[in-house]
Amino acid sequence: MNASSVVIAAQRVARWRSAPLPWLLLAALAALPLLSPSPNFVRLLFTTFLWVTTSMAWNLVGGFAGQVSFGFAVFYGMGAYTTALLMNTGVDPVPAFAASALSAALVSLVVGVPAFRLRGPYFAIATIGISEAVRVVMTNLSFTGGASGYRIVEHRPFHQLEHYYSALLLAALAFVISALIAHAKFGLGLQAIRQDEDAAADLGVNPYPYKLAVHALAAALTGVAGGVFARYAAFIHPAGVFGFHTSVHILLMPVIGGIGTVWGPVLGGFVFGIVEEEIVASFPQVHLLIYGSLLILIILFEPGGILGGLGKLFRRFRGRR
Amino acid sequence: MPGTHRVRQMWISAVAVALVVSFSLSCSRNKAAESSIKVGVVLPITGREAKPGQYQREGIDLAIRQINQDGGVMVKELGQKLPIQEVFYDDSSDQAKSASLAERAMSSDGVIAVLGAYSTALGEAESVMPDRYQTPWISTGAAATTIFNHGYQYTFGTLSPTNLLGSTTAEYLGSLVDQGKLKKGLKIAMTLENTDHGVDYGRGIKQWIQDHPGYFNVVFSENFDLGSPDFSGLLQKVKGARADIFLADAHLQDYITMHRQYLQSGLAHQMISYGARGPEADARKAMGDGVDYIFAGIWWSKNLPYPQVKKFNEDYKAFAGHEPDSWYPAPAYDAVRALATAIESAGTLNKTAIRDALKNVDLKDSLLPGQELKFGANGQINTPFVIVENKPGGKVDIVYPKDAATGESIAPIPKH
Repeated sequence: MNASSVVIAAQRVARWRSAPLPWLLLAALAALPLLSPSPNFVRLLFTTFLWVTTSMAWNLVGGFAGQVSFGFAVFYGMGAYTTALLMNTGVDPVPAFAASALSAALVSLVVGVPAFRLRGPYFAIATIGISEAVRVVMTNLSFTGGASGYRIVEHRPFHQLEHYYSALLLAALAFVISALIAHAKFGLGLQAIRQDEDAAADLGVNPYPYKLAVHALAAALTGVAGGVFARYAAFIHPAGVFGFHTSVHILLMPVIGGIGTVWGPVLGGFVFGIVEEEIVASFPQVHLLIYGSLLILIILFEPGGILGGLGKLFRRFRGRR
Repeated sequence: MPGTHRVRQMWISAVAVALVVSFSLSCSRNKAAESSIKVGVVLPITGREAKPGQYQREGIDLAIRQINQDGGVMVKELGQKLPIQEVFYDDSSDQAKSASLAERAMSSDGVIAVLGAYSTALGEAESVMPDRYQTPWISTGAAATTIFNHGYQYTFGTLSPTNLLGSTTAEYLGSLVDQGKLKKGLKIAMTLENTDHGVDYGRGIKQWIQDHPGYFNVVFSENFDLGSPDFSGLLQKVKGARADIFLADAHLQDYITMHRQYLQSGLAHQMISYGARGPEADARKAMGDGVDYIFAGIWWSKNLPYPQVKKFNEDYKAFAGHEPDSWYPAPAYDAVRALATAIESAGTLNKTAIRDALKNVDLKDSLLPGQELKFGANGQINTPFVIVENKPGGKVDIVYPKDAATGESIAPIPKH
């Protein structure tokens, strides 16, 4: 990295740091409990922050590097079970979350080393297979409760806001990581891999370690999200945290919000977290139909997701003026 | 153009913050004066458990309707009767949704209790919430003991423990041996759903066999995943075990799938049971006389010889448009009645007072076997099971215990 590229990168980071939106949003969300929102609203935001985190994590691999994975439930579930098992042995939540990150990152290497030898749809299919295999193993593993699930007994009173701030901090961390990577040489390397893997290799970007590294980072974030969820839910089961639908949800959010961008997965996570819950509660019989239709509309008419659509609207509005 | 970018960022920031704040304010807690008693109901009306969930909802709705037609529930503190208002959520047979919807009801809908949780799997997930939000929760369809043995204070259930189902099943088979209908020392093959429900059922059977040596031997026992599309491999193993009696612990969907494949495999045993499933209309519709002679241990039967059961059957048919199918609606119906009794006894809508009153509820005219509904120290009831057997022509008889029997046990199953 020469001096000029360092300056450019520093300028990009400085511009991002001075941008008001993330800070204002973070401040508003941090101050939100002062308005005494209902516990249900706090829960809704808690869940949304976790979805935002996993969405941004998936976007690192699927959006920046172009590796479409259907297997992120493996990391989410691994993180959830790691936290659950450790907390039941008396470990405090924060070290348990750290262990969740580590275990998910290690599993990502086990998954990634063979899977990243494959490309495109073959990689995607491999991740589906691995995800299902892990779910079946966990369903039959007796020391984690098997299909019956696993209960977390925390010997302290439940404070919802503690969980809320854990999830908010995690989402903020995921955002910072995502924004830093987007503007760093590493991120440019990932984008080069997405555009043309062979050309990237010719230019000195070795795709394999790049992919493994970003996969591990994304897995670690997803693992912590799983751990934070497990602590809140106090009861987890393989069909939920390791379920294929969890992988699909994680993948859909960046698609909805805007794949390959920093803000797209955030928007996608918010839309998914809040809208999905309301649709499930209000239209349980047709929630999948409504959700599927929305998705088809987005993919057909705005492949850039909500962010792409907002960008078009803004340009049109500016053009009129 | 950095200036334009900055203006855009400012606008987006302002809109985002305004949205978050306004949404939050709209979701802030507001307490209106009580004009009704809100009760949360979380049941699966779609998905794998849709049918039993629907039947349980019908039981709950019927009870609420009858209570409201009588003017509601007397709340002494308020000096008036209030109607029950149901806040219903369909959890789509999904554990995570089940827990989050129960939490939603308890934390933000202003309910004084939550009913529901059909199936052990969904009940396990929901059971975390009652103590967290100090809201009484009455499970109408989850029976595994693991839900009730954590020392929770706000958790109640109107189904007897599943291990009692297992031991009653074995006891019934033992009674057939004593009557000379079955021989001693018969071999049993068991396939159990791999949940706490299955574990409890298997444990109940094994415990009875251990306590009554010489009656039966378990020669095969294996678990299966809930909702499996194919049991042919498992059934081949059952065939290989050369057992005399086949006992499975299955949910409705698994019962239908497994027994269809059982029939296709040409399997035959002296006695067959699918735990608490057997007499359901859907199964007979799917397999016709293939379900004849299957016996089931169930929490309630419409054939119980109590006057209140006769009245319930009539009311239910008029309300739902069909007769009660298997045991599903009755424990749900009685759960509402137990809750209403507890509210009247507490004389207040305070949730802790209602919880305390629930602990002392004693419904002497319960629909359930034994006609008395009382919650035990762990919150679960302990009423006896009845054994029913499918007979040719779509008839279902209570065959055990003897004092409630409406027909004779046909054992062993006649060979075709």
